[in-house]
Amino acid sequence: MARMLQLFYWLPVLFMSFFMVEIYLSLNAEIDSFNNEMLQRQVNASSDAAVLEAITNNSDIESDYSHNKIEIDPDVCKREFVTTLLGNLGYSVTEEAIEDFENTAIMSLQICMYDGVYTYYQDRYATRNISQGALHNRYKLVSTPKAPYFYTPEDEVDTAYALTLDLDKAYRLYTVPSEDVDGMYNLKINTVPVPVSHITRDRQLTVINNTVSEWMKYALIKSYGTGDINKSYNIPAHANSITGAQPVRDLNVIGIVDLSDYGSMSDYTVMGIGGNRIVKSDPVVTYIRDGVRYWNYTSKCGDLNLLSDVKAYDSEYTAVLTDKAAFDLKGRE
Amino acid sequence: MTNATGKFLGVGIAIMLLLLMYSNVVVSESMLDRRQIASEMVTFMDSVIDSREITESSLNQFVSNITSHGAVVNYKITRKIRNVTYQNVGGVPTATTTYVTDPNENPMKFEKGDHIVLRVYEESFSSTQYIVRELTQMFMKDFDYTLEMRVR
Repeated sequence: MARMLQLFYWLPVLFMSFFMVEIYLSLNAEIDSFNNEMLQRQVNASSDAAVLEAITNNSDIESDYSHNKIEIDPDVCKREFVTTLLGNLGYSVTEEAIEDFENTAIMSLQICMYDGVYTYYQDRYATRNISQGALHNRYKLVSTPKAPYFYTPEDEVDTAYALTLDLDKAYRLYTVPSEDVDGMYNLKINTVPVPVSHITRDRQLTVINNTVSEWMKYALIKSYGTGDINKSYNIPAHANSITGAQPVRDLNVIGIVDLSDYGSMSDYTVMGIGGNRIVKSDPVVTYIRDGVRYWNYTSKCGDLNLLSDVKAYDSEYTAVLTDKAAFDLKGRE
Repeated sequence: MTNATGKFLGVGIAIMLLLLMYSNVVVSESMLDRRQIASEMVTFMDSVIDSREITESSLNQFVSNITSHGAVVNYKITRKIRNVTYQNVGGVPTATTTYVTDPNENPMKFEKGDHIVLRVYEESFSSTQYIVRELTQMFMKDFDYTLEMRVR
């Protein structure tokens, strides 16, 4: 009986062991969840910074959003994204750290521009280690060319558009005979935007977001894939599609960061979405009319060249004013 | 004799069970505290990047909020000043951005484009955390997180 009783004492010990393992597992899950949450905030902050840098850098070189265009070097966004994220993670921002982080942790980075999207992905290349003579796989973050938001309306025959985030205007596509091959045609994009009021804004946003989503899938397959089409890839389920929410309504940066190979024991993969409203620049000009000096927004001035006694003073706005020649004078002032 | 050993063993197991439950409660509380501190960090940073300044009252409120969750935490705010260099590369105007850390220890004013870095770190444990750490000799890593955001 006494021996039986001693055996029963081991049962609580066994129970305690299970209880301890359970506490350890739940604690680990909780810490992972918290780290993921913090990383999500940090990547979101980095995406926001990248968008702001894109816009600010654009105005720094005085190529502001005149003519409904935004021309941005995507590398500016990428660098801002990486440097901000490195600062968030507590690393020193050095060129070596930037390159290391770029080629290790960023699985996809999409810079959604006014008229197209740049997609960064990890491109695999083989390098030979001279001392060992073996081929090693390395990855490098590279970008696709700017992919326009193509759309072909179902009810319009032989018509296609390259949509823009303006949602009021788009570029029309047309075909020209190929100079290289007889009988073939090349697709060209007209540089003059045309109004697309017959395409609903919701439809345009759906097309734009689907385009971005498709390129994101392409980037993830390239980044996570080994190049062998017979192998299956382990792509994080929550980071392979952006349809539904339609986050791309304006200039946007979407980054997918995976820290599993970058000093982390657990898999931390998050998708950060930045975004900022596009505000068209409308600089103030000054002019003299009937001996009185006026200040006004350029968009409300109409065609100042048509007025004989109007003279723009600030030379930096001259280019803006001459491009406003198509404005109608009716209703101004 | 056997009876006495059994009693000692029973009391020991009961104490360890209580300790495990106590650890569980402390860990849960600590994780909740961490989430609240992180939330305070984000709220404070959001207000700063929009207003471009840190007022005395907002800073006091922030410090009061993060220190009211048990653990003894401290903070450090750093400002990275945006610096633009203009170049003309092949006729194309190019602007290169770099950041210079502000030597001022307590920056209160920020310019558009600056980065503000907020680091909140744990300096000491709360009393409950200390007890658990001493008894079990194992506990989670100290709270030490950084949030860097760009001033709008």
